Amino acid sequence: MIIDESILEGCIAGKREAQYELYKKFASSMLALCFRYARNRVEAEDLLQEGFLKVFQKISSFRREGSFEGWMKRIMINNALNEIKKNRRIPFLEDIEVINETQIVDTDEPAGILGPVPADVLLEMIRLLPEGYRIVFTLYVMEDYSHKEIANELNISENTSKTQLLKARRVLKNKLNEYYTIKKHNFINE
Amino acid sequence: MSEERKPQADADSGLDNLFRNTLNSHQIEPSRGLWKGISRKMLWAELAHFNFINLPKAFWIGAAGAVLVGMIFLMNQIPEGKTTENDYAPIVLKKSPDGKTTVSVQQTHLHSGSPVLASNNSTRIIKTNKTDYAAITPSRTASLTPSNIEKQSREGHLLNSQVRNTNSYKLKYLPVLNSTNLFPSEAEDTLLRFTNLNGITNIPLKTKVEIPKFYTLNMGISP
Repeated sequence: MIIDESILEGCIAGKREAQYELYKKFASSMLALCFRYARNRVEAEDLLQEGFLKVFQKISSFRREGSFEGWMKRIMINNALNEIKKNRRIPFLEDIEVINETQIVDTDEPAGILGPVPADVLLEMIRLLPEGYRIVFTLYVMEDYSHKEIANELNISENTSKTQLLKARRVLKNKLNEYYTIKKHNFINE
Repeated sequence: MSEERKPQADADSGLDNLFRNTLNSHQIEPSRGLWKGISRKMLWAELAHFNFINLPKAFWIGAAGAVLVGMIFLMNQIPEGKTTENDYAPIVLKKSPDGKTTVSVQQTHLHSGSPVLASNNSTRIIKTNKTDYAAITPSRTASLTPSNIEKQSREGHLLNSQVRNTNSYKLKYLPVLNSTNLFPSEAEDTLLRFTNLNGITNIPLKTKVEIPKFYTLNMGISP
């Protein structure tokens, strides 16, 4: 998504109209991003609000070396991670892993090749993951972070990051299989 | 984000790609009130940094209205020429040993019981407790600048002009005037006569009055 230079200049000058234009342009995609780090819509919108405030406050420091959207995404992600860390919400502890271990049914069947899945279904699957799984999976898969970067960002070891990702994938595969089964069943009944 | 490419198992790449490709372009419409919240928070942050460029027009209109109302209120607080005896500041006349008369305006509180010895529309000569005589003019409307004091003294309208000139700064405490041209003439009936104060004409002249030639002005402030 390319941003109009006049909007950017207006935002740097602190003009509210330009800020509103920027908001209109990016709010939907940024809310979808925030949703991946939040537990519900209210929390996602709070993250979006705080993220936009930081974007407007720091916009003069945008050096135009990369894409504006990428820069904005990074601010949103950092803001989301800071909020999560501030609230100490990430349970990477053993008890969570033990609890969810029982839910994980390992399957050899590869997921995601049986057809497209609606975005809101996938988003809901991510949202229902335990917090630690969700954050690591999102950072690794969606934001292309490495395990080293995730470990630094969340103050965990690389191995913990790898374990969380592995378990997240297992849970998601399981959910995808459930989804395909239900879909197949409904198709036969129709 | 990552510079180093991540090794990925084939089995996982299908899952990852499904999520990545589907969700990367996904959009969710925010609530309607969200922008208002952002805008409000931005405004507070701007005000904290004394940045007023995004203040709504209604605020400026309201502020202008408040200033206008304030000015009207203040204007109404200033009396329009109607003065009571307590609104007067006395000008005390004292005769010095060398024969000169000092006219000093003091912020003496005058009681309504002070006897009025002579008066015209703007100036009155009364008897006070501390000094023998005082010419009093409305202090709230009295307003003098050094230039017009000198000019009006020369023209002999000082006391009257103290009442009428209101276009310059307001003197809460009027200056002490040492002038050779203000000579009281004490008569048997204890009334005073000012030689060149045209405003006071109803006091009988009993002795010859010296016509002054020079003026001196001392702008010392006397509380």
